[in-house]
Amino acid sequence: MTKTLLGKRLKEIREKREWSQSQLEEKSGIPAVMISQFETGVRKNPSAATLVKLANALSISMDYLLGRTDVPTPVGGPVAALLRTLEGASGTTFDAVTAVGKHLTDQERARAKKANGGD
Amino acid sequence: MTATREALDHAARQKAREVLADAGITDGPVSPFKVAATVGFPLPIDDVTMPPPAFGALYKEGNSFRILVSNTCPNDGFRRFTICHELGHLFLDGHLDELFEAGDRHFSDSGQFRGQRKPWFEIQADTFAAELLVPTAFADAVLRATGPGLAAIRAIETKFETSLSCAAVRYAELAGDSVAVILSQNGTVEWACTSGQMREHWWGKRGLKGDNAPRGSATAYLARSSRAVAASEERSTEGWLNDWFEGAPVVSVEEEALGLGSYGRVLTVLHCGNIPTPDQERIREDREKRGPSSWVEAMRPYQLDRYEDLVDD
Repeated sequence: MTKTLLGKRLKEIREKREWSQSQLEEKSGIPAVMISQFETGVRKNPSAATLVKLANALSISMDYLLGRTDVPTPVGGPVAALLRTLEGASGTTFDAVTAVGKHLTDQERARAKKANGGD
Repeated sequence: MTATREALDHAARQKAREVLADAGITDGPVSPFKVAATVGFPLPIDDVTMPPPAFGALYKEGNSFRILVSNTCPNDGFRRFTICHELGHLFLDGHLDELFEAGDRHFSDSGQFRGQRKPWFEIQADTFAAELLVPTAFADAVLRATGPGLAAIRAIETKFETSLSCAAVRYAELAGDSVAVILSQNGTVEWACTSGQMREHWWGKRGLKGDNAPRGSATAYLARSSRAVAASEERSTEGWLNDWFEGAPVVSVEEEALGLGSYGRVLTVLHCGNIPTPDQERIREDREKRGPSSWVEAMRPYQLDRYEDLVDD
Protein backbone atom coordinates (compact mmCIF):
# COMPACT_ATOMS: atom_id res chain seq x y z
CA MET A 1 0.00 0.00 0.00
CA THR A 2 1.48 3.36 -1.03
CA LYS A 3 1.68 5.88 1.78
CA THR A 4 0.05 9.20 1.07
CA LEU A 5 1.38 12.62 2.01
CA LEU A 6 -1.54 12.89 4.42
CA GLY A 7 -0.51 9.63 6.06
CA LYS A 8 3.14 10.63 6.29
CA ARG A 9 2.38 14.02 7.80
CA LEU A 10 -0.22 12.67 10.20
CA LYS A 11 2.22 10.07 11.54
CA GLU A 12 5.09 12.55 11.67
CA ILE A 13 3.15 15.13 13.71
CA ARG A 14 1.55 12.51 15.96
CA GLU A 15 4.97 11.04 16.77
CA LYS A 16 6.37 14.52 17.32
CA ARG A 17 3.67 15.02 19.95
CA GLU A 18 4.67 11.61 21.33
CA TRP A 19 1.11 10.38 21.12
CA SER A 20 -0.01 6.88 20.32
CA GLN A 21 -2.84 6.37 17.84
CA SER A 22 -5.12 5.65 20.81
CA GLN A 23 -4.15 8.95 22.42
CA LEU A 24 -4.94 10.79 19.21
CA GLU A 25 -8.28 8.97 19.18
CA GLU A 26 -9.00 10.29 22.68
CA LYS A 27 -8.13 13.83 21.69
CA SER A 28 -9.76 13.92 18.27
CA GLY A 29 -12.65 11.49 18.57
CA ILE A 30 -11.45 9.74 15.40
CA PRO A 31 -11.10 5.97 15.89
CA ALA A 32 -7.50 4.70 16.17
CA VAL A 33 -8.23 2.14 13.46
CA MET A 34 -9.10 4.93 11.03
CA ILE A 35 -5.99 6.91 12.04
CA SER A 36 -3.90 3.84 11.32
CA GLN A 37 -5.60 3.41 7.94
CA PHE A 38 -4.78 7.01 7.00
CA GLU A 39 -1.17 6.64 8.13
CA THR A 40 -0.62 3.45 6.16
CA GLY A 41 -2.44 4.68 3.08
CA VAL A 42 -5.30 2.15 3.29
CA ARG A 43 -7.70 5.10 3.43
CA LYS A 44 -6.86 8.08 1.28
CA ASN A 45 -9.66 10.60 1.18
CA PRO A 46 -10.94 11.66 4.60
CA SER A 47 -14.05 13.74 5.02
CA ALA A 48 -13.69 17.39 5.94
CA ALA A 49 -15.24 16.68 9.36
CA THR A 50 -12.64 14.00 10.10
CA LEU A 51 -9.73 16.09 8.90
CA VAL A 52 -10.74 19.13 10.99
CA LYS A 53 -10.92 16.99 14.13
CA LEU A 54 -7.48 15.51 13.48
CA ALA A 55 -5.92 18.87 12.60
CA ASN A 56 -7.44 20.62 15.62
CA ALA A 57 -6.34 17.85 18.00
CA LEU A 58 -2.79 18.14 16.65
CA SER A 59 -2.97 21.97 16.52
CA ILE A 60 -1.85 22.01 12.93
CA SER A 61 -3.25 23.30 9.69
CA MET A 62 -5.70 21.12 7.78
CA ASP A 63 -4.05 22.37 4.60
CA TYR A 64 -0.70 21.05 5.85
CA LEU A 65 -2.18 17.58 6.29
CA LEU A 66 -3.63 17.78 2.79
CA GLY A 67 -0.29 18.87 1.36
CA ARG A 68 -1.60 22.25 0.23
CA THR A 69 0.99 24.08 2.32
CA ASP A 70 4.29 23.24 3.99
CA VAL A 71 3.51 25.47 6.97
CA PRO A 72 2.00 23.34 9.72
CA THR A 73 0.65 26.26 11.78
CA PRO A 74 -3.05 26.72 11.28
CA VAL A 75 -4.25 30.05 10.00
CA GLY A 76 -7.79 29.49 11.25
CA GLY A 77 -9.52 27.83 14.18
CA PRO A 78 -8.41 28.37 17.79
CA VAL A 79 -4.97 29.72 16.87
CA ALA A 80 -6.52 32.31 14.56
CA ALA A 81 -8.98 33.21 17.31
CA LEU A 82 -6.08 33.69 19.77
CA LEU A 83 -4.22 35.87 17.28
CA ARG A 84 -7.36 37.97 16.71
CA THR A 85 -7.58 38.73 20.44
CA LEU A 86 -4.03 40.06 20.25
CA GLU A 87 -4.67 42.35 17.30
CA GLY A 88 -3.40 45.84 18.17
CA ALA A 89 -1.67 44.62 21.34
CA SER A 90 1.68 46.15 22.21
CA GLY A 91 4.89 44.20 21.73
CA THR A 92 5.23 43.82 25.50
CA THR A 93 1.74 42.25 25.79
CA PHE A 94 2.46 39.99 22.81
CA ASP A 95 5.76 38.82 24.34
CA ALA A 96 4.09 38.23 27.71
CA VAL A 97 1.28 36.14 26.19
CA THR A 98 3.80 34.16 24.13
CA ALA A 99 5.93 33.46 27.21
CA VAL A 100 2.91 32.37 29.28
CA GLY A 101 1.65 30.23 26.42
CA LYS A 102 5.02 28.60 25.97
CA HIS A 103 5.34 27.92 29.71
CA LEU A 104 1.88 26.35 29.93
CA THR A 105 2.41 24.25 26.78
CA ASP A 106 5.79 22.99 28.06
CA GLN A 107 4.15 22.04 31.37
CA GLU A 108 1.36 20.22 29.50
CA ARG A 109 3.85 18.28 27.38
CA ALA A 110 5.92 17.35 30.42
CA ARG A 111 2.80 16.08 32.19
CA ALA A 112 1.80 14.10 29.12
CA LYS A 113 5.28 12.60 28.84
CA LYS A 114 5.18 11.57 32.50
CA ALA A 115 1.74 10.02 32.09
CA ASN A 116 3.04 8.03 29.12
CA GLY A 117 5.84 6.61 31.21
CA GLY A 118 8.57 8.89 29.88
CA ASP A 119 11.48 10.29 31.92
CA MET B 1 -13.34 8.66 -8.30
CA THR B 2 -14.07 5.25 -9.78
CA ALA B 3 -16.92 4.13 -7.52
CA THR B 4 -20.23 3.36 -9.16
CA ARG B 5 -23.29 5.55 -8.71
CA GLU B 6 -24.88 2.78 -6.62
CA ALA B 7 -21.83 2.59 -4.34
CA LEU B 8 -21.74 6.37 -3.89
CA ASP B 9 -25.47 6.48 -3.10
CA HIS B 10 -25.10 3.62 -0.64
CA ALA B 11 -22.19 5.36 1.13
CA ALA B 12 -24.15 8.64 1.29
CA ARG B 13 -27.23 6.97 2.80
CA GLN B 14 -25.12 5.01 5.25
CA LYS B 15 -23.31 8.15 6.39
CA ALA B 16 -26.60 10.05 6.77
CA ARG B 17 -27.92 7.25 9.01
CA GLU B 18 -24.74 7.32 11.12
CA VAL B 19 -25.00 11.10 11.49
CA LEU B 20 -28.67 10.85 12.54
CA ALA B 21 -27.74 8.22 15.14
CA ASP B 22 -24.87 10.41 16.43
CA ALA B 23 -27.26 13.35 16.73
CA GLY B 24 -29.77 11.17 18.60
CA ILE B 25 -32.51 11.97 16.08
CA THR B 26 -35.18 9.28 16.02
CA ASP B 27 -38.09 10.94 14.22
CA GLY B 28 -38.89 13.73 11.78
CA PRO B 29 -38.69 16.59 11.19
CA VAL B 30 -34.90 16.48 11.23
CA SER B 31 -33.19 19.69 12.34
CA PRO B 32 -30.13 20.41 10.17
CA PHE B 33 -28.89 22.64 12.99
CA LYS B 34 -28.98 19.75 15.45
CA VAL B 35 -27.02 17.68 12.94
CA ALA B 36 -24.52 20.52 12.40
CA ALA B 37 -23.94 20.68 16.16
CA THR B 38 -22.56 17.12 16.11
CA VAL B 39 -19.77 17.91 13.65
CA GLY B 40 -17.32 18.42 16.51
CA PHE B 41 -16.18 21.97 15.72
CA PRO B 42 -17.92 25.37 15.47
CA LEU B 43 -19.94 25.46 12.25
CA PRO B 44 -21.76 28.77 11.77
CA ILE B 45 -24.75 28.69 9.41
CA ASP B 46 -25.54 32.17 8.15
CA ASP B 47 -28.27 33.60 5.96
CA VAL B 48 -26.81 35.92 3.37
CA THR B 49 -27.74 37.63 0.14
CA MET B 50 -26.32 35.57 -2.71
CA PRO B 51 -26.44 36.32 -6.39
CA PRO B 52 -28.96 33.94 -8.01
CA PRO B 53 -28.96 31.14 -8.96
CA ALA B 54 -26.61 30.27 -6.06
CA PHE B 55 -28.50 29.11 -2.97
CA GLY B 56 -25.82 27.70 -0.71
CA ALA B 57 -22.09 27.87 -0.14
CA LEU B 58 -19.41 26.26 1.97
CA TYR B 59 -16.49 28.43 3.00
CA LYS B 60 -13.29 26.93 4.30
CA GLU B 61 -11.71 29.20 6.89
CA GLY B 62 -8.42 27.78 8.11
CA ASN B 63 -9.32 24.74 10.18
CA SER B 64 -13.04 25.41 10.20
CA PHE B 65 -15.98 25.86 7.88
CA ARG B 66 -18.97 28.14 7.49
CA ILE B 67 -22.21 27.32 5.70
CA LEU B 68 -23.94 30.16 3.90
CA VAL B 69 -27.57 29.96 2.79
CA SER B 70 -29.24 32.39 0.45
CA ASN B 71 -32.09 34.40 1.90
CA THR B 72 -33.80 34.05 -1.48
CA CYS B 73 -34.46 30.30 -1.09
CA PRO B 74 -38.02 29.78 -2.40
CA ASN B 75 -39.22 28.11 0.82
CA ASP B 76 -38.00 26.80 4.16
CA GLY B 77 -37.92 23.21 2.89
CA PHE B 78 -35.56 24.24 0.08
CA ARG B 79 -33.41 26.09 2.65
CA ARG B 80 -33.22 23.03 4.89
CA PHE B 81 -32.23 20.85 1.92
CA THR B 82 -29.51 23.34 0.96
CA ILE B 83 -28.01 23.21 4.47
CA CYS B 84 -28.10 19.39 4.45
CA HIS B 85 -26.44 19.33 1.02
CA GLU B 86 -23.54 21.43 2.38
CA LEU B 87 -23.36 19.18 5.47
CA GLY B 88 -23.01 16.28 3.04
CA HIS B 89 -19.86 17.87 1.62
CA LEU B 90 -18.43 17.96 5.16
CA PHE B 91 -19.38 14.46 6.22
CA LEU B 92 -18.63 12.51 3.04
CA ASP B 93 -15.18 11.15 2.19
CA GLY B 94 -13.28 12.69 -0.68
CA HIS B 95 -15.36 15.86 -1.12
CA LEU B 96 -12.76 18.11 0.47
CA ASP B 97 -10.23 17.62 -2.31
CA GLU B 98 -12.82 18.21 -5.02
CA LEU B 99 -14.45 21.31 -3.53
CA PHE B 100 -11.45 23.32 -2.50
CA GLU B 101 -8.92 22.46 -5.16
CA ALA B 102 -9.16 25.92 -6.68
CA GLY B 103 -9.89 28.03 -3.59
CA ASP B 104 -11.53 28.15 -0.20
CA ARG B 105 -15.08 28.83 -1.36
CA HIS B 106 -17.55 26.41 -2.86
CA PHE B 107 -20.93 27.51 -4.18
CA SER B 108 -23.86 25.15 -4.60
CA ASP B 109 -25.66 26.60 -7.51
CA SER B 110 -29.03 25.24 -8.59
CA GLY B 111 -28.36 26.20 -12.20
CA GLN B 112 -24.64 25.45 -12.22
CA PHE B 113 -24.95 22.09 -13.88
CA ARG B 114 -27.93 22.76 -16.11
CA GLY B 115 -27.38 21.07 -19.44
CA GLN B 116 -24.29 19.24 -18.24
CA ARG B 117 -23.56 16.20 -16.14
CA LYS B 118 -23.53 16.92 -12.41
CA PRO B 119 -20.21 15.99 -10.72
CA TRP B 120 -20.31 12.84 -8.57
CA PHE B 121 -19.79 14.75 -5.32
CA GLU B 122 -22.80 17.01 -5.95
CA ILE B 123 -25.03 14.01 -6.67
CA GLN B 124 -23.72 12.27 -3.56
CA ALA B 125 -24.35 15.36 -1.40
CA ASP B 126 -27.94 15.45 -2.73
CA THR B 127 -28.42 11.78 -1.84
CA PHE B 128 -27.03 12.44 1.65
CA ALA B 129 -29.34 15.45 2.11
CA ALA B 130 -32.41 13.50 0.99
CA GLU B 131 -31.70 10.60 3.36
CA LEU B 132 -30.89 13.01 6.20
CA LEU B 133 -34.06 15.10 5.81
CA VAL B 134 -36.43 12.25 4.97
CA PRO B 135 -34.82 9.15 6.50
CA THR B 136 -36.02 5.91 4.93
CA ALA B 137 -36.77 4.32 8.30
CA PHE B 138 -38.98 7.23 9.44
CA ALA B 139 -40.62 7.80 6.06
CA ASP B 140 -41.72 4.17 5.63
CA ALA B 141 -44.13 4.57 8.55
CA VAL B 142 -45.62 7.71 6.97
CA LEU B 143 -46.09 5.97 3.61
CA ARG B 144 -47.76 2.98 5.23
CA ALA B 145 -50.28 5.28 6.90
CA THR B 146 -51.28 7.16 3.72
CA GLY B 147 -52.65 6.31 0.32
CA PRO B 148 -50.59 6.58 -2.87
CA GLY B 149 -50.00 9.68 -4.98
CA LEU B 150 -50.17 13.30 -3.91
CA ALA B 151 -51.60 12.34 -0.50
CA ALA B 152 -48.36 10.50 0.30
CA ILE B 153 -46.20 13.36 -0.99
CA ARG B 154 -48.10 15.89 1.10
CA ALA B 155 -47.79 13.67 4.17
CA ILE B 156 -43.99 13.52 3.72
CA GLU B 157 -43.81 17.27 3.10
CA THR B 158 -45.74 18.00 6.31
CA LYS B 159 -44.03 15.45 8.52
CA PHE B 160 -40.46 16.25 7.45
CA GLU B 161 -40.88 19.98 6.63
CA THR B 162 -39.37 19.60 3.18
CA SER B 163 -40.15 21.19 -0.16
CA LEU B 164 -42.83 19.46 -2.21
CA SER B 165 -40.21 18.52 -4.84
CA CYS B 166 -37.98 16.82 -2.26
CA ALA B 167 -40.99 15.00 -0.80
CA ALA B 168 -42.00 13.86 -4.31
CA VAL B 169 -38.54 12.47 -5.08
CA ARG B 170 -38.42 10.60 -1.78
CA TYR B 171 -41.91 9.23 -2.41
CA ALA B 172 -40.82 7.83 -5.77
CA GLU B 173 -37.62 6.40 -4.24
CA LEU B 174 -39.43 4.70 -1.37
CA ALA B 175 -42.71 3.65 -2.97
CA GLY B 176 -43.10 -0.11 -3.14
CA ASP B 177 -45.27 -0.01 -6.27
CA SER B 178 -45.06 1.50 -9.75
CA VAL B 179 -44.83 5.25 -9.37
CA ALA B 180 -43.34 8.15 -11.31
CA VAL B 181 -43.12 11.79 -10.27
CA ILE B 182 -42.55 14.40 -12.94
CA LEU B 183 -41.83 18.11 -12.82
CA SER B 184 -42.73 20.10 -15.90
CA GLN B 185 -42.92 23.68 -17.06
CA ASN B 186 -45.29 24.72 -19.84
CA GLY B 187 -45.94 21.03 -20.49
CA THR B 188 -42.25 20.13 -21.00
CA VAL B 189 -40.66 17.71 -18.53
CA GLU B 190 -37.74 19.11 -16.53
CA TRP B 191 -37.06 15.98 -14.51
CA ALA B 192 -38.68 12.70 -13.63
CA CYS B 193 -38.06 10.18 -10.90
CA THR B 194 -39.36 6.61 -11.07
CA SER B 195 -39.80 3.99 -8.36
CA GLY B 196 -37.59 0.90 -8.17
CA GLN B 197 -40.36 -1.26 -9.60
CA MET B 198 -40.54 0.96 -12.70
CA ARG B 199 -36.79 1.07 -13.11
CA GLU B 200 -36.78 -2.70 -13.50
CA HIS B 201 -38.09 -2.05 -17.02
CA TRP B 202 -35.90 -0.62 -19.76
CA TRP B 203 -38.51 2.03 -20.61
CA GLY B 204 -38.70 3.08 -16.92
CA LYS B 205 -34.97 3.90 -16.84
CA ARG B 206 -35.22 6.34 -19.71
CA GLY B 207 -35.26 9.97 -18.53
CA LEU B 208 -38.28 11.94 -19.69
CA LYS B 209 -36.44 15.28 -19.67
CA GLY B 210 -37.51 17.39 -22.62
CA ASP B 211 -40.57 15.22 -23.42
CA ASN B 212 -44.00 16.83 -23.64
CA ALA B 213 -46.89 15.83 -21.40
CA PRO B 214 -49.34 13.70 -23.44
CA ARG B 215 -52.31 15.45 -25.01
CA GLY B 216 -55.39 15.00 -22.90
CA SER B 217 -53.39 14.52 -19.69
CA ALA B 218 -54.15 16.52 -16.54
CA THR B 219 -50.63 17.91 -16.74
CA ALA B 220 -51.15 19.23 -20.26
CA TYR B 221 -54.45 20.76 -19.14
CA LEU B 222 -52.81 22.66 -16.26
CA ALA B 223 -49.86 23.68 -18.45
CA ARG B 224 -52.24 25.53 -20.77
CA SER B 225 -53.30 27.86 -17.94
CA SER B 226 -50.66 29.83 -16.06
CA ARG B 227 -53.50 31.09 -13.86
CA ALA B 228 -54.36 27.51 -12.81
CA VAL B 229 -50.69 26.80 -12.05
CA ALA B 230 -50.33 30.03 -10.06
CA ALA B 231 -53.51 29.20 -8.13
CA SER B 232 -52.04 25.74 -7.25
CA GLU B 233 -54.97 24.00 -8.91
CA GLU B 234 -55.09 20.23 -8.90
CA ARG B 235 -56.48 17.87 -11.54
CA SER B 236 -56.56 14.13 -11.89
CA THR B 237 -57.44 11.75 -14.68
CA GLU B 238 -56.80 8.25 -15.98
CA GLY B 239 -54.50 7.67 -18.92
CA TRP B 240 -52.19 5.11 -20.47
CA LEU B 241 -48.70 4.38 -19.28
CA ASN B 242 -47.34 4.10 -22.84
CA ASP B 243 -48.47 7.69 -23.53
CA TRP B 244 -45.84 8.80 -21.00
CA PHE B 245 -43.19 6.12 -21.45
CA GLU B 246 -42.48 5.08 -25.01
CA GLY B 247 -42.24 1.31 -25.21
CA ALA B 248 -44.19 0.71 -21.99
CA PRO B 249 -47.09 -1.77 -22.04
CA VAL B 250 -50.62 -0.48 -22.54
CA VAL B 251 -51.58 -0.26 -18.89
CA SER B 252 -53.98 2.20 -17.31
CA VAL B 253 -52.35 4.85 -15.14
CA GLU B 254 -53.79 7.25 -12.57
CA GLU B 255 -52.47 10.75 -13.03
CA GLU B 256 -52.56 13.57 -10.46
CA ALA B 257 -51.23 17.00 -11.40
CA LEU B 258 -50.68 19.96 -9.11
CA GLY B 259 -49.78 23.56 -10.01
CA LEU B 260 -46.84 24.72 -7.92
CA GLY B 261 -47.94 28.36 -7.53
CA SER B 262 -45.34 31.06 -8.11
CA TYR B 263 -42.76 28.37 -8.96
CA GLY B 264 -44.61 28.09 -12.28
CA ARG B 265 -44.20 24.32 -12.60
CA VAL B 266 -46.56 21.37 -12.48
CA LEU B 267 -45.88 18.35 -10.30
CA THR B 268 -47.32 15.15 -11.72
CA VAL B 269 -47.68 11.79 -10.02
CA LEU B 270 -48.34 8.67 -12.07
CA HIS B 271 -49.49 5.56 -10.26
CA CYS B 272 -50.09 2.19 -11.92
CA GLY B 273 -51.65 -0.91 -10.52
CA ASN B 274 -50.44 -3.97 -12.37
CA ILE B 275 -47.52 -3.64 -14.72
CA PRO B 276 -46.35 -6.93 -16.22
CA THR B 277 -42.95 -7.99 -14.89
CA PRO B 278 -39.98 -7.72 -17.31
CA ASP B 279 -40.19 -11.54 -17.79
CA GLN B 280 -43.88 -11.40 -18.66
CA GLU B 281 -43.15 -8.53 -21.05
CA ARG B 282 -40.39 -10.52 -22.76
CA ILE B 283 -42.69 -13.52 -23.25
CA ARG B 284 -45.40 -11.28 -24.73
CA GLU B 285 -42.90 -9.54 -27.04
CA ASP B 286 -41.48 -12.90 -28.20
CA ARG B 287 -44.94 -14.21 -28.89
CA GLU B 288 -45.82 -11.07 -30.87
CA LYS B 289 -42.61 -11.33 -32.93
CA ARG B 290 -43.03 -15.05 -33.61
CA GLY B 291 -46.72 -14.93 -34.42
CA PRO B 292 -48.96 -17.94 -33.79
CA SER B 293 -47.30 -21.26 -34.72
CA SER B 294 -50.56 -22.82 -35.81
CA TRP B 295 -54.14 -21.91 -36.35
CA VAL B 296 -54.92 -23.74 -33.08
CA GLU B 297 -52.67 -21.37 -31.16
CA ALA B 298 -54.18 -18.42 -33.01
CA MET B 299 -57.62 -19.55 -31.92
CA ARG B 300 -56.65 -20.24 -28.31
CA PRO B 301 -57.44 -16.72 -27.06
CA TYR B 302 -61.00 -17.27 -28.32
CA GLN B 303 -61.23 -20.46 -26.24
CA LEU B 304 -62.45 -22.52 -29.17
CA ASP B 305 -61.45 -25.75 -27.47
CA ARG B 306 -63.63 -27.95 -29.64
CA TYR B 307 -61.50 -27.09 -32.67
CA GLU B 308 -58.42 -28.25 -30.80
CA ASP B 309 -60.26 -31.48 -29.99
CA LEU B 310 -60.96 -31.89 -33.67
CA VAL B 311 -57.29 -31.48 -34.56
CA ASP B 312 -56.14 -33.87 -31.86
CA ASP B 313 -58.43 -36.46 -33.33
